Amino acid sequence: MHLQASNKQKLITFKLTAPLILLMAGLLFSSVSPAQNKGKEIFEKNCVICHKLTEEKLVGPGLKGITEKRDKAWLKKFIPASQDMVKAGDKLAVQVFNENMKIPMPDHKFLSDDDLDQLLTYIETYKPAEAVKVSVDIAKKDGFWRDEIVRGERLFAGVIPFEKGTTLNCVSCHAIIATDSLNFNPSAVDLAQAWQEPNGTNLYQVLREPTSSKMAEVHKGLQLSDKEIYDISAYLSKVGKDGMTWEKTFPARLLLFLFLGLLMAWALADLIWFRKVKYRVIHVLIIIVGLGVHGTLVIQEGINLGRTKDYMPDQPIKFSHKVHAGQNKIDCKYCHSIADYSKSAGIPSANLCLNCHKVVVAGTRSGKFEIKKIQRAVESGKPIEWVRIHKLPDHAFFSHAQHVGVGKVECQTCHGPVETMDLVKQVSDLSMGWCVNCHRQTGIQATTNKYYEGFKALHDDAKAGKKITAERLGGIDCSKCHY
Amino acid sequence: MEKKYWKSLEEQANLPIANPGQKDVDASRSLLDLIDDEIDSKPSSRRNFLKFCGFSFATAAIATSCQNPIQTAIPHLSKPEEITPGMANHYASTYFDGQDYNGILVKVRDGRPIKIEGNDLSSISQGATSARVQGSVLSLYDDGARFKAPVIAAKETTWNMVDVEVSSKLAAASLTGKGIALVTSTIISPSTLSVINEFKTKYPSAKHVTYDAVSSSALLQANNLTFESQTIPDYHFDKADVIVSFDADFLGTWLMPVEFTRRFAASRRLNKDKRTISQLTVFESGMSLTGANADYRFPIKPSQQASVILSLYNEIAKSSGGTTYNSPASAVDVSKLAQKLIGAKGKSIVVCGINDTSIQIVVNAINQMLQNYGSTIDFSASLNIRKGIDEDMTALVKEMNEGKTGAVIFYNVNPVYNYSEPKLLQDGLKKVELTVSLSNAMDETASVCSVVAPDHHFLESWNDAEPKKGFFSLQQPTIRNIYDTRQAQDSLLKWAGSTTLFSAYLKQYWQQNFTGKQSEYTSVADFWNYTLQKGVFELPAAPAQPAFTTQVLADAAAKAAAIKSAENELVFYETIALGNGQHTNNPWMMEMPDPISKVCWDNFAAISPLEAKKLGVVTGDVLKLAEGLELVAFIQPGQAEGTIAVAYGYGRTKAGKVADGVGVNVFPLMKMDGGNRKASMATASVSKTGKKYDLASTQGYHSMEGRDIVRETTLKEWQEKPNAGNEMHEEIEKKHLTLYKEIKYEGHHWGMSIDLNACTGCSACVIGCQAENNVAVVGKKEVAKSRIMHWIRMDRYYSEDSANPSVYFQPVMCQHCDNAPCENVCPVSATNHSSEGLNQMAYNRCIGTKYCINNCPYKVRRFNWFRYATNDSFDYNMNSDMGRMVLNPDVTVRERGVVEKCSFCVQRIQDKKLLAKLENRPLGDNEILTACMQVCPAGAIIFGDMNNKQAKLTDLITDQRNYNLIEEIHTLPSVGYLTKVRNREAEEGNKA
Repeated sequence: MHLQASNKQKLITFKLTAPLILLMAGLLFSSVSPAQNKGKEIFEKNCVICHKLTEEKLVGPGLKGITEKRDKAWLKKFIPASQDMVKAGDKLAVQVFNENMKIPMPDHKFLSDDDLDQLLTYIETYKPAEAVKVSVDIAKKDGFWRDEIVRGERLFAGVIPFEKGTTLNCVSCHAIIATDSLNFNPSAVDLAQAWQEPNGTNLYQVLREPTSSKMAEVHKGLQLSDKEIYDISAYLSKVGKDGMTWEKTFPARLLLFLFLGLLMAWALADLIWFRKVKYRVIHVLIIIVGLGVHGTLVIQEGINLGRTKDYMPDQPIKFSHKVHAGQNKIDCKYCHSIADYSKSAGIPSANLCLNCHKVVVAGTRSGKFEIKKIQRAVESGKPIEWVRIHKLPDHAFFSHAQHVGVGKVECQTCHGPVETMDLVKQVSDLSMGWCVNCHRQTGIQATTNKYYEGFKALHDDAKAGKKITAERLGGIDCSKCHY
Repeated sequence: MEKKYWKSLEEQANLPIANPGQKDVDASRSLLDLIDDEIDSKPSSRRNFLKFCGFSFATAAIATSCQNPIQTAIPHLSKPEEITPGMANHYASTYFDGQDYNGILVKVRDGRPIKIEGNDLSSISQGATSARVQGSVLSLYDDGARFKAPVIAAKETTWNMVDVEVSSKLAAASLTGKGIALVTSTIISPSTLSVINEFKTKYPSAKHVTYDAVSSSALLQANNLTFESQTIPDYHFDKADVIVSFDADFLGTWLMPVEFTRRFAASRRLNKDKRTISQLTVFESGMSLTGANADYRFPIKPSQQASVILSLYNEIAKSSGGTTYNSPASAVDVSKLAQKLIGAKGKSIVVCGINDTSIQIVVNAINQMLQNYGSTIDFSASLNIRKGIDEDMTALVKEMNEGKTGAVIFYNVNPVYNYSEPKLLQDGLKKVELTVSLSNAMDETASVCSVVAPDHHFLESWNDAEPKKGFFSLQQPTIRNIYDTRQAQDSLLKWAGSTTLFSAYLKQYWQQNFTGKQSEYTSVADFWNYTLQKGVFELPAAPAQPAFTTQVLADAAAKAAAIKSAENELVFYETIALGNGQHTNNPWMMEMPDPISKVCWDNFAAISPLEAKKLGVVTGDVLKLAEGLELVAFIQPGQAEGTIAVAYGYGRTKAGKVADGVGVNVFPLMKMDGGNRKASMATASVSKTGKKYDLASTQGYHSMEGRDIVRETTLKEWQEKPNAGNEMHEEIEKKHLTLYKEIKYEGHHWGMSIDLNACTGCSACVIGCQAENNVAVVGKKEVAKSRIMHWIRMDRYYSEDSANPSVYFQPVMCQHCDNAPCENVCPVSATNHSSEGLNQMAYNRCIGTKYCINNCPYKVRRFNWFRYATNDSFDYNMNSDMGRMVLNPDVTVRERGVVEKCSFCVQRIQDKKLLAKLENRPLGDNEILTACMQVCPAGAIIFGDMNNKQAKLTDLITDQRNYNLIEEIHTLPSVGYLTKVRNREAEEGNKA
């Protein structure tokens, strides 16, 4: 890795001549030492939610110059267990506590002495990143020459190798074709959008200083020249405009249909006029099989007309239900909070996502890019446009409240094992037959819900232990769903 | 003798009913021949067409391998706390359009106001609304007529430019000493009045002129002269036993029809505890809603009213020892009526809608003699909803013509359309340097004003109201302003040099003036927030009864006695739907059939049957009524002889696509007379022009062909025999036999009861239903073809003499028969019976055979002949993106080729059932309100669960007055009607 390589150099050449030291100091500013790296990691993991490295106050005070203002030993005591100090009556600790509206700072007892040292060193030596100096026009985001775009496209696709030897190409991770599969890396369009928006990503900086460990790992060995980045950005400007290309599916069924149609037409013509084939059994067979296949195709397509079972589109954010609901065991109704009492289950608003993602800033597979999209949406005021998967026709009324709130139906009954899906797929066909079948079979909460107490015969049956299906109370009436 | 009921004069005379949509058919040929002809005349038959369709759809589906469009789901960035997608919010607010007041709840779904309900916390409307209030939500989305931005000299501009223009010219007018006039409709908002005062402080030469196009100027002045109080008292019809109305349509249009209807209906309801009802006598010229509900009705000329009132006065004065005055011979013998009134002293009301001060003074004297003030007529909670004095506007127009006025600002008024001298006004306006209209939509006045500073729609505005002394309510925005408009009060504040926003001004005004008047909330903020949430704030009224002075009486009686009669008189009246013309561009209002004439989309000259016969006029002939006034004749049973009634509110020219060019404007004929604007005039002669014109009426069709539809009796008979008039019900019930197994309803069994005695026919339910259920407007041409889509039909029947018939109203919606004839004939089972007794309609299954329509004995099913929601030929509201905003997302918009009908508001049933289940409790009685039940000011419609023995509905459907429509055919409807009971002697009919 580029960073580690420069660190090694530094270690070896530390005691060499002064000019070299100076040179390396220059390198230092564009990179990070391992100690600082650790300190930075700790800071970003634990402190960044409440503290800024400037003088600005967030929840807690800004930390610029804190090591000069306070004694280091005191800080090392305060950070792991501030409340203990307040309770013990440490004057300074009480003062800090009161100054900050008595919001207690969480304990950080898990930080070792060395960790604390590194953290404080990081805070002490922190300097805001300087803009990278490059030889090309960074600000340019549109209006590139055609040959720049074409060269960028080839570089992106790996057709032209990068100057400084690496076999990596962009397209193997950053998709340009919508594929209906979860690729956790940002797509080319995503990259283009992030770069093109006002105050967007500085490609030159990001490519030299990866923003997350995930990105650093996969970009290992990548040393792009300014011109190469410039050309790639030229290509991205085009991708941003055009959007994703859609993968073309092979129309096998259509071809089969047409082929059989032609074959039958030929068989019929041969039977009547040409008489090239002697055995009529062949004609008859062709026509019978052809009609059979045609019929099956028409019926299958007819039934599936307007149905979207197995629909699994790409979403604007590579959000994984498997990670959230499956691995982290977040309750469905934490995000889809209105399913209990509203018609709609509700898609969480961006501010709800940020409840957690203020703290969780990077994903294990996706790095920071995807989570950053939420922040970008809030900042730009452009809401996230999710692609809707489960949709009923407008003339069918469905209420989540009735099913989740009253019927106590599990989400998975209709939506399938969402907690195992990275990319959500429609599991049920959502057809009327499917609805009606469930209404015929599913028991209602006849004994627990007081609503049903008024219906005597039904309530008596229920108390006698009989299963009362939704059908018995009109669960398959037209006007249950259509009005 | 069997009493004959009829719906139209053609039916009464057994004539074929005119139907412009119907083709003449050669009766000598068989039907099959005709069908063959039709098949032969076309190159391909329907069957062949379907075959081709079937094949091509199947292949097309495969060949194109259809792709579903990608739909997106966009959540909020930061969800506002009160918004839950898929659930509606209700905000308490206020409706006041310059005429009618209503405390309302606005139903807002996903940010869009879609329906207005009455605020049940308001003691004035008590949860009810009028048809106009129901329709008002549609005007919010009137994309065609509403101003999108401020306008100077007919060019859209910015608010800064407007403020510079207006402020500088107001300042100039102030400097040159010219007058500034702020012309408004009656303003009942205390805070707006305060804003106007600030404006007047800034411009001392400014004066505030209240201009009501249809005013109560005479009543106000009469009260001022007799009580020294220029206010209108409140009328408690519920406390009265004898009610007499002289041309005051208090159930339809006079003052506070919603509240008055509630009170009147309360006095007309009968049950085992309440054994008697009030008696209503009406003297009027045209048939009004109040006249139609009267026990006794006397059609007389407007000029004869004075003689009748004076005679009534003299009769009462004679027996109670008052002074009598000279009176011309009365057109009607009122001695019996006088005795009844004297018998009900303190429990009677005499109201008069004639805009003549002297007549009103005599009426006041009558009420005074009857000791009604303080008991049934109450000055302590006086009405604020009419304040305009007609002469004020006359004076202003005079000043304008004299060049004394430098600036005029019009707020919520449209005098260029509805002033008595439009020419004079327009000439005057030309001499004024600055003319400003604050109207939110284009109208005749805005079109001649140099500056238009468009107001918000009332659903976008802050405001408050004091319709009655001590009864306050608040108005809050339910949507952000759609266009670049600014609230009128904000404009006035700005021009008055204030920097306060009206929203803040209002809040401050309330906190300062009202917080101290209550003790419920201690904190100022709590008081404001809770009052805003409730929408109303009512203070107990301090009893007040000004003393009556008789000084002016002699003079008034003499003046009244001097009123001369003419041979032909024109009467101008207000329709239930359109008001003084401010609702004319509202397609719902325009297509609402007039409850009496059943005509929509036009005004007409209502002529009495006898006079029509004399002149040889039939409905559809164009008559010349006066100089410059030609109008189509409509023969109106019950119209007074020698009078012709014409509705105002029509004939708009700059209102928008619906209103423009419909009907004739008669406001210029309503001239000033004796200090007040008169709603009648004498005309030399009425003659035929020879021209013809088609009216669209919903009257001739949907007829129930003389069966036992309306059942009625008189009070006396009912008191003796509770099933009087309804004897056949029991007999028919006995005869009911069926081969089929009786259906058991295990859960709910929905039903409805309609009290014909309470129902006044106001048709609020028709519009309430239309708003709730996305019922399409179809236009005049389609209405004429019997294709109106309303799910509730307000049937109106006449009986007895066509010169003065008795009138009956009967709202008919789908009867949800348990043995429904429509269900058996549907070939695709698109309409079938639900387990809760609903006759349900699955639109997506319907293939449009219309068999059900044919087989429905009640004719309540409607067919979608067109795709009204997208067809540009039906340019009313549903075919534009903005107009579609009003649609209820819980109700399907019907496709072309399907049948629709009343669903008993199944979406509301489902909604409330769900709520009960979620709250883990049984469903309460009266919890589900169908749209018609909710709006009904009379409380005539009760919906409920027939399986719930404790339900209010059960009492009603087991009442001996209850019957079902055409029950002899054993359709077992779920809708029951209660016999109409009139408080009159059986043999007298309509005459006392």
